[in-house]
Amino acid sequence: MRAPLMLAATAILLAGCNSKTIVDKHSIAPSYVSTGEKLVVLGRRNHSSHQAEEDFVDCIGQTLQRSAQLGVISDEEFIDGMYPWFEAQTAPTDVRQLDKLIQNRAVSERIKKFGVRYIVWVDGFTETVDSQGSVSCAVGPGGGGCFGFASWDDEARYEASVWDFTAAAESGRISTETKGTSYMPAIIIPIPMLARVQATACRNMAQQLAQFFVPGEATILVEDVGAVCPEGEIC
Amino acid sequence: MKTPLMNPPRPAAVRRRRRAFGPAFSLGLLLAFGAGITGCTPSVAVRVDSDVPEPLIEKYPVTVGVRYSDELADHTFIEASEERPDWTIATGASQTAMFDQLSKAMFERVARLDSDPTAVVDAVLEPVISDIQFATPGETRLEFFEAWIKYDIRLTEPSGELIGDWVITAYGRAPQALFKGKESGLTQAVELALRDAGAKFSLGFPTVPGVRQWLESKRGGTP
Repeated sequence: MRAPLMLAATAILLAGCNSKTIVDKHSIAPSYVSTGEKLVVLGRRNHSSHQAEEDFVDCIGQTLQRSAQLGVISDEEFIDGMYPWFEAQTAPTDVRQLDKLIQNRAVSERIKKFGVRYIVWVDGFTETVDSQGSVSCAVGPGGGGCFGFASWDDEARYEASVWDFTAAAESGRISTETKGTSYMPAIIIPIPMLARVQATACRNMAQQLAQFFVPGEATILVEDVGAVCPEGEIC
Repeated sequence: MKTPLMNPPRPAAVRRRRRAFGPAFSLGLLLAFGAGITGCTPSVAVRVDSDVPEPLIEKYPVTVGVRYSDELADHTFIEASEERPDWTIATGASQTAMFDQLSKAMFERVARLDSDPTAVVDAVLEPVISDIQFATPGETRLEFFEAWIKYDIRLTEPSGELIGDWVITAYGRAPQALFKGKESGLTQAVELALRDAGAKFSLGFPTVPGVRQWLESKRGGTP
């Protein structure tokens, strides 16, 4: 009995060691949050095939609030307070629609009341892209157990777009791609060794978002091939 | 009568192993298996009891009487097919609550014509449910519970003359990962579809051609 427990403990320690993340950040304008200003993190829900997971969106908001001490309004509170303007099928999908929306006096007054300066739109999802092996479990009157070995590859691809309510413009964009492989050997009991792909993607994205909002943090500009420089010229 | 051969003494190692993985462990695995298949039962019995937030929209300077048919107020989706042998989804109360909330926010005064048929109003609003459909992840192979609701909305003068009529199709989708069973997933999908219906009704109302002209006449100018 001790051997499976030691193996499980080792597995838990090693679980975070098999993920890889690529972050791409493009900053268009400074997005510092002043005292009293808040932000809200919302998940995109207008795609037919997927939507950003609620727990990922919550993770981003909570991490920003906890680690960067930023004022974050919960997405539920914001969407309910702005009803019907930020529902899945009525929310603005680009900044031109945002500009039109904030010309509505009731909407702009409610945004002021919330104290929200920035919206962070999160789009993407985590999925299992490959799996191998199998684990079989059986139980009988004399006992039971599981045997086998399974592994699966997860990929988390997310993009966050930062909109500035005051300027009615996009401030920046961050994309993250995290890959990881989870394992589950089963010797009587299954021993999961999970690559926390979604949690890693959340942590990395929140870290990059904090650099957008907190003055004094170094902001690293990463320019893709074909990206547009702030002046409108191709770099 | 027991003899020594019927119950031979077991070695200590075997006794320890049996205690570790004996009946308690088997029961635990059986309970876990039972909990796991809880969501697989074919019958669904749901009563949706929700409302929508107060909408942030312009209030029109009109008095509107709202009339709900029994079909809407008591709406229950019932299916007894091979794939859905015992489905009952009651949404009537939530639907009337949604339209009540919206009407209160959209119109200066609202009268419920089923309880006050002689109320003096500028127009009569009558939403009619024309279709409601559901889908589960097991049926579509997507990772969502889904609900669609279709309404025919009529706005008429108190005399019965038509001001405008239009169709609203609402959609709600709840991720499978968040819900343990069909009933909670379908409930959330219906609640989101009602929110969608409310959003489309409140935002689309002033854009319906006949309604737009009627509102302009009530305002006494251009919107």
